Amino acid sequence: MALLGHIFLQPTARPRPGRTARWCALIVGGLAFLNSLAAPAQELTAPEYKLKAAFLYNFTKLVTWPTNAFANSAAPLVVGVLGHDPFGDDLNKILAGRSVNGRRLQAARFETVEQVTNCQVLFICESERRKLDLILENLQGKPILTVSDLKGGDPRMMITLVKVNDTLDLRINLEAATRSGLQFSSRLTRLDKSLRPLTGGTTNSPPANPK
Amino acid sequence: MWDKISGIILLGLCLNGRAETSREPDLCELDLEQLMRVRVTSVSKQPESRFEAGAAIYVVSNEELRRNGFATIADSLRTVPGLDVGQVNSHTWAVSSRGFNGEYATKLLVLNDGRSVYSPLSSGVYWDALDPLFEDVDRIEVIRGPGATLWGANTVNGVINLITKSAKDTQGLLVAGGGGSAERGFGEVRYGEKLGENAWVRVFAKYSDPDSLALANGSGAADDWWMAHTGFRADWEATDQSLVTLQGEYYQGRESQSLTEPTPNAPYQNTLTLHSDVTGANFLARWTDTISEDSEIKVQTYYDHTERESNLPSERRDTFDIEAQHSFIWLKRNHIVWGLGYRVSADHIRGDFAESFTPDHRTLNLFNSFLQDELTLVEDKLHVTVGCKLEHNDFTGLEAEPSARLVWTPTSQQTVWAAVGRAVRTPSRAEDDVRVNLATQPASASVYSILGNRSGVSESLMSYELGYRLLPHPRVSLDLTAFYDDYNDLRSLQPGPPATSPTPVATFYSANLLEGETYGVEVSGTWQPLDHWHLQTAYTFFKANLHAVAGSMDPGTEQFYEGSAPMHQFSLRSQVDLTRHVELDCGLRFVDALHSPNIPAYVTADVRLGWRPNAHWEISVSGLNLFDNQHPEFAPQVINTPLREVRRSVFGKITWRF
Repeated sequence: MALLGHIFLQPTARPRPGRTARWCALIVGGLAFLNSLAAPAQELTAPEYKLKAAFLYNFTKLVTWPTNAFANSAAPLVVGVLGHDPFGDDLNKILAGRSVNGRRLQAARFETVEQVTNCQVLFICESERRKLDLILENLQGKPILTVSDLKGGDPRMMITLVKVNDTLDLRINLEAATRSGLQFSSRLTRLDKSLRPLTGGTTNSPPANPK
Repeated sequence: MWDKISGIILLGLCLNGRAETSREPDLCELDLEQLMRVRVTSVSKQPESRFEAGAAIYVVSNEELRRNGFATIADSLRTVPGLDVGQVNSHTWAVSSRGFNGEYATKLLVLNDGRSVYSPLSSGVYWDALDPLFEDVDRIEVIRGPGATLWGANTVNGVINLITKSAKDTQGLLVAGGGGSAERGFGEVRYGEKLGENAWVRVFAKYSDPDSLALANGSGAADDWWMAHTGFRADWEATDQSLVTLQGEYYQGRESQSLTEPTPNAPYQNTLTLHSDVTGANFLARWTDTISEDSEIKVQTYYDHTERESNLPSERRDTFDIEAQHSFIWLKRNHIVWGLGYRVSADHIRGDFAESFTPDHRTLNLFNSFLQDELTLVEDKLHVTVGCKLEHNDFTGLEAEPSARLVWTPTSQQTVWAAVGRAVRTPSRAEDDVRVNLATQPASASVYSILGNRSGVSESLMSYELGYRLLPHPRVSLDLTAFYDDYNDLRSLQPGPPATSPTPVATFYSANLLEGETYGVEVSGTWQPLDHWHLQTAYTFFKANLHAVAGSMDPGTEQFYEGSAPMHQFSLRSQVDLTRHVELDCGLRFVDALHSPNIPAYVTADVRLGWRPNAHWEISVSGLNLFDNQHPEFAPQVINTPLREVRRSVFGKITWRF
């Protein structure tokens, strides 16, 4: 059927008037104009853990650690990953060659919580879900920023990354951070939309309340 | 063939692609507030590896599909570099790459989640039935050039692989609807639910009601149609290693067109309006088992039923397909993929005077096996992929389709690849068994007849391709492909002994007495001048040079093929985020003239304006074919109907997700 009938059929066609140049100019010109008006928008995409690695990098800039969090003034700021590492090479790549407040950034991997020393940011992986009680007990009072993306969240984490409709949101437990001696910049705390205006630094959102 | 084993992987090319897609920002430059607006793509959606693919590959992402602003899948393919899309009538499209386009473009294979939608009757594709919710499409992979070593016969000029999202990624309620001038009205509902700890399901329904195209004088062409579609998909992560997918759909529609039919007696033709009832159902099951990091087994089976009932010839077809595939690493350097498959397809065709099939019922069997090895010659730098498919079909027996590809990645910003391969297009049922009677023009004495011929052989292609990709800057990418295709045994016509009842004025038989070369260059590039502004351009040059072999008395089929594709095609697309919530997407398309059918060149533009006030709502308006009131894009080649023209059109769409 496909190729068989063609030779006898000669559909009539007519030439089209050419009036497109003006349109092209209008469209292209219009685009440039609109673009000059445009506010920068950020609906870009990235692989999930590359994006989360960038979040961790940003946290190092917006959290202040007590001086006793570091071995000495030359010690690096270490971002550790506890458990089955989902970042691959992305975390190393993002931290490589960067420093914050004069401290070099460095990634580290830990298999158990006992290994976690000389570490300022700790990302706790999904694989550690069953050991959470032990881990958090061990970290209690230490100046370590705990971050995780556990499904369903855990209110004891200082920062939880939550996926909402393909973008990442933050849940912040300011009380837990304060108890460990960490100070969060307001540029960080205001991003947790569920945090109400702070009154004395104790009010927390329901999902971020400690148990 | 498969859903999850995407073309990129099957082509045996490194998956650890490191090319930045140009929509991916330099994350370190963004502050937290900006990061919170970046959308997450999962690993399976990464089109990155195409940078290192040893084939002419393009991936239409869900985002691109949404922002292109078209209403159908066939129209959405207009933005793919190197593809040639022309609308024939309101419910029929001609889609091909590298020439030989037509209402029944025979050399392009189309798969929907691993299920072939290529018709063994006509060797064409029923684009009207390829009708998923855009929201549920994960991506459309388009590979130009032969892919027969993996996908088998009829993957001569390319393969289009539509892959839908896992049910896991389509949870919640979605309601969408809209309408406009060409799309009179449409509505979509999808609901996704978690079935258990590791199981998800979605169900969907969709209805659309497109209006007629226009005749040359501007009046309606009486080819409007409607289509209703419903289906489900369930994904079950049975264990950490194994994934089970079940999916199915049912659709029903009614399509009109007016045409002129030959009749057995004077005046030998009759113009009528035809209504076709299109019905189909299919069910697919797939099981994937990851034995280890290096080894994976997949088994897939499906059943498909299609019906096209009208007062013209009607087709009923049942297809059952089962295939299995195993991939593993051998001796560290070899990535081996091999597989086996079987397909049986049975049809019942009711003919009429214009088109009849003898016999009217036939069952076709297809056996296939393939083996491919991707060998790493130099780690991260040089790979060679060799493979061969062996197929046995009921038309021509055994066919071999070998190929070899070489990929060189001298730096992470450059890829050079070369490929050589053989592909065949096996005869269609029509080329074997049809009798077509055509009215003489002007209708005077009697009819012409064209008959199928069971001694036909497969059309064959030897293809030579060379490609280069470059990332000169993080915001710029360039992709070049050149090809030279050498065809043998192309279908032609040969005068023969007169058929009877009624005795035609001339009788032609299907033959294979045509050969020739086609060649071309496909260039595409992307540029992201600003974070929120993305530009894409493509240019395609194509030329065919076909000739009859000695002894042929073909009446001109070579011009028919040669003239079916434009020599030049150019497109430019722009995606701008005007604000965080407002998107403006514009496209400009130039398509050169066709000589068979005789279609003038055209330039046109499409614009979409989208507003997403929050994560739940999306409102968009699309304006399509803006530059003129109407223009023709392609003409029916078999059925005698007047030329249809595509109108300027506008439609709006509202989507609500919860």
